[in-house]
Amino acid sequence: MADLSVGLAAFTMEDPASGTAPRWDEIRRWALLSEETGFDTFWVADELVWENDDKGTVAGWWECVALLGALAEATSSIIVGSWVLSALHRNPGLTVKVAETLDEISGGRFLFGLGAGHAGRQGAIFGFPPDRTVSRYEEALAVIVPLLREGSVDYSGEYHSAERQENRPRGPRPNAIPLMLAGHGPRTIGLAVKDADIWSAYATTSSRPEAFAELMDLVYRTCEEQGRDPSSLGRSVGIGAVAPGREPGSFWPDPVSGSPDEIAASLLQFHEMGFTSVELCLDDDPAVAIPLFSDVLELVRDA
Amino acid sequence: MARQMRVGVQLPEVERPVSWIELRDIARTAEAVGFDSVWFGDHLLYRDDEGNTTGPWEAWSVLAALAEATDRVQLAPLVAATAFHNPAMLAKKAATVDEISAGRLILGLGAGWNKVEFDAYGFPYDRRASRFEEAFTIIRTLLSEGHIDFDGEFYTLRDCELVPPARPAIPLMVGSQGPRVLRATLPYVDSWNAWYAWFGNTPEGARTQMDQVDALCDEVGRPRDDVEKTVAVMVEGPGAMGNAERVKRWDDPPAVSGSPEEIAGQLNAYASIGVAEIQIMADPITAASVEWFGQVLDELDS
Repeated sequence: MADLSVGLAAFTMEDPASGTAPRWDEIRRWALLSEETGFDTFWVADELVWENDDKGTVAGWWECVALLGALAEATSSIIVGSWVLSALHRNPGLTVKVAETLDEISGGRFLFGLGAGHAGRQGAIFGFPPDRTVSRYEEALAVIVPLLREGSVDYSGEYHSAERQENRPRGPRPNAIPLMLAGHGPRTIGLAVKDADIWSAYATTSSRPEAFAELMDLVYRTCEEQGRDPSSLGRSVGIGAVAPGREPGSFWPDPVSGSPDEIAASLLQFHEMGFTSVELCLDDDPAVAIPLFSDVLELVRDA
Repeated sequence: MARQMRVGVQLPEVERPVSWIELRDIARTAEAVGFDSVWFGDHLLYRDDEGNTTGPWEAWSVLAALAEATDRVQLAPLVAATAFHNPAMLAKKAATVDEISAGRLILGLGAGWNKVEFDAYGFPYDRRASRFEEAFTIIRTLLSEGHIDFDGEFYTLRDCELVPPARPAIPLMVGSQGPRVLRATLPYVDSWNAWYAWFGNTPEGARTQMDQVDALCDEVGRPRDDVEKTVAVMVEGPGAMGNAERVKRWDDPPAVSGSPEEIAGQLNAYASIGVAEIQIMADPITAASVEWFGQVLDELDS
């Protein structure tokens, strides 16, 4: 049996073409369908507004923490994860309180995904600082990691501070909520190897396994540099995926597609190259596409 | 005689360790026995004089989970501290919880007051009123108009858009007794809220505060009746820790107490001075006590 976790990430944003947002009932349905179909994790992104390149308009996202709070309550067995909370978007200590609360609401099913976040236009629109994103992230981690893993922190930095801050109350897994840190470059991968339970990356130019070889190599080298056993670090990748029998969308470059056997084979290739978790990102109606992965998931489990 | 004012109840915070399961149970019981609304504080950390630290769960994830777990009751933070989030982010959280609840959110807002948590989390405690004024402008504009271009002293947002848009007319409430915050909010809010300890937990005390709010409404040119007056009221039920203990812990005024009929009578006194909604701060606050308070609601409805 392949030890590969397969998650589902659905876009909780307005459709750029029509401007129509998914309603809560629909998002809730996607999570429950994912749970029924056998996905290991349901992921919610922490995004605000994306620009529609050719239109000068924006497509907005529902807010991540609120969605996760409600999804934690609505679901019963699937892991619910943030993919990923942006260190720019909230006070770091408050972010830990969010994680602890979501773990409490879900009964110990929250996967705390976190990353540096994107500044850029989305940040300017919302008034987040445009510069030193990774430095800010590094400081945020200096607050978040001790608070999450030890329950308290004192820190004084250039961007963040914590004075006798204590993580209370604690949920069902004190000091043990899994932390997934995103990393696509040496600095952020360095931080992931240092502190994360799981490292996370996602497809930029391609969703094929080969496209991640260099990144995986960097992760292994960084583990060696830091003296960390790579098998102690989970390795998660987000890729575009087309459900069997469905047409590809336009968003994800080179998505994984084909018959259930073909898709399962692609996913297992990720496993062979060292990934422990694959997150399928859809560019399709999730209500239709999610159940179509049922055979894929079975094939991966039985491999 | 029908119920003369809306009645809500606040969920426990740090009175004792409380699980999500219990919070959900209390909220559902409140809904079942006929409360109009369920309220949850927005705090991060408390520390007493001896240095003992306690903390509540995070407000917006809890409110969202309550939205999923309930069907009818209005849900609200009492009150959301604008200091704890980027204001546009706060507006987005509110819009999202309102969506999840199918339009049951009341957005209670305040500037924050508990210095310990500000210091602990690195939020500036100075110039809270000024910061609140800017945050409030951003939040109310995004919720009502969907966009804002704002260049302030504390916040700068360029062509900010709140999308997906909030449902129209999410009720805004201000929880404050500070004249500056009130002058900034009374032109716009749907309701005002006072904490029981501010007015001695009596209708006479509440009326005095309400008079001050009315005077400020006059000053800012807002019709008095456009701003609903709501008050939190401390009420004891069977098994209460009692006034002596509450006074010892929190320097509290005496609670409303008695049989359901007596309590209903005392609460109706608030209605007769013009209060539109009360939030019951219950001692004890458990599913069982909320069920008991259902009898008070029956009296209010009879």
